[in-house]
Order: sequence, then C-alpha cells, then structure tokens
Amino acid sequence: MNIDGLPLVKPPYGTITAINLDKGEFVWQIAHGETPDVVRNNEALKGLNIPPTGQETYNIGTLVTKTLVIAGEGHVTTTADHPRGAMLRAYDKMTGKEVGAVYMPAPQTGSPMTYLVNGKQYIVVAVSGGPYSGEYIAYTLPSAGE
Amino acid sequence: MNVKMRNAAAILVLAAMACPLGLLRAQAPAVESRSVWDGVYTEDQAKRGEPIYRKECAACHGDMLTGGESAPPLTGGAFLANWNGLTMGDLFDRIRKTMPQSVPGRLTRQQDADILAFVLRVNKFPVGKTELYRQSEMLREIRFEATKPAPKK
Repeated sequence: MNIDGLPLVKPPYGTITAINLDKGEFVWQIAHGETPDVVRNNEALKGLNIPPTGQETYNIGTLVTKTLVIAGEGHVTTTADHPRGAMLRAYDKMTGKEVGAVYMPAPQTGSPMTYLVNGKQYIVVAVSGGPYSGEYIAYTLPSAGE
Repeated sequence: MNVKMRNAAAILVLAAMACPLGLLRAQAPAVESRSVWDGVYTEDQAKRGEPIYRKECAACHGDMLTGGESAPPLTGGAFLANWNGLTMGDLFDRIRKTMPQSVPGRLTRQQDADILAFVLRVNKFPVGKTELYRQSEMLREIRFEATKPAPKK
C-alpha cells in the first residue's frame, strides 16, 4: 500500500531477528537493508532525519556461520556510497551489529552459501532483478601476497 | 539579383532553418519529462491485458502479481525499487526477451504492451488517453519512477 509511491506503513520495512529458542525471547532485531530510494529521496520527507528503514524483502535467505549472519538486500538502491545495485551485509551473530558490507550489481535471490577450498573461504550469492539476469557471484579475500 | 535581394534570400533560408530547430527545442522537454505518472496507458488497454496476464503470467507471478516461489512480484516495494529510474522500454524488452519463460517472445508486441498496461494499473499508475506504445524505442522515452514527481513550479 502506498501513496504516490511512498509506503503507508511505518518502518522498519524489513528486519532480521535473533530469537533465543530456550527462552522464546528476541535477543536482537535490526532493520535489514538500505533505506529505499523512494523513501530516502522523497520530497515529502525532505529535511527529516530518517533512520535506516530496512527493506520489504522477498525470498531473501540468510547464511549463518560461527560468528556471522550474512544476508543481501532485495531492493536496488543508488546512494552516495554505491552505484545502482544492492549490498551483501554481514552482522555479528551475537549482537546484530553490522560488521561489513560488499556491493552486488543486483539484489540477492535465494540464500548465500559459503565453502572452503585449499584454505580459502568463499561466499557465493545468486543475484538478479529488474533488467539484470540471474548470476552467481563468488566473493573471497585476496590471498597473502596478492 | 541585387545585393538587397540576395540578403533577403539569405534571411529567408536562415529563417527556414531556424524554424524546425526552434520547434524541436520547444518539443524536446515535453518528451524528456514523461514518466509512468503522466497517464501512459488506457483503461481499455489494461482490460485487454488482464486476461492475457491471467493466462500467460499468473501461474508463476501470481493472481495478485505478488510473485511465486521462483518468480518475482510485479508489484510492491522490490518491484518498484528494481525498475525505479529505468524506462518502460527496459521493462518491455525484459518481457520480450525472457517471457513467457516456456517460450520467450511467443506473445506479440501488442500483447506484451497490453499486459504491461495491466501491470501499471495494478501498481496504481494513472490511466491516460493514449495507449502504451508497443515500440521499444518509444517506450524508452517513458521513465519508470517509483514515486510521483513533485509538481513543477
């Protein structure tokens, strides 16, 4: 539901929540995803300080490791920090604090996964959306000396 | 031909050249400023598109355009965000080249334009007096804007 393109519902539009299954309590909850362009650049909201709203997501899966929760964004945004595209974000599993993000040319689809080859860790994520056809992207850190 | 007459002829030629340029300049901003908020399809066209959508698209994209397990929604925040700032030509060509998934390009340009008119109506973009074009190059002149632009001052 939106009025002239601006969502009617109050943000956050999308969250990631860590639940303690022993107690059934929320350990942390964060807005996941860059504030959509239609909100961040909206004339009606000019001058207001809008905290990160997260994004209404569709079929975005998470990857959980020993220390991290990794999930990409489902919306294309264009910000001062990155060109038209989406971010793959990593959060501290215990606190929900964002600890890193890398750029993707299109939104994530499905879930990221990770694997180890010859001592090198990779993260693979499927992306597509809008006119961008489906692709797999693999990320890794440069080897020592590279 | 005396000097005076030659000058007059030269002025006439200049005037003839200036005129179409002037017209072009006057028309250019109107073309550039068109977006999906300017009424780029008709109600009748959306009505024609609906049964084609139901038959050709709904099985994957859903009756309400909300998407399915492997097909993205064609309405809502992600859809609007992913096309925001691009053109109707981009969206139309995407449909032409990849849809329907079983036999891409099987539908005619007119059918694809009618489906797109239906999609615009579901997304509550305003109806207009002229039908949505079926030519990609003309559709590329219509910007896809997720939010209604502020009225021009």
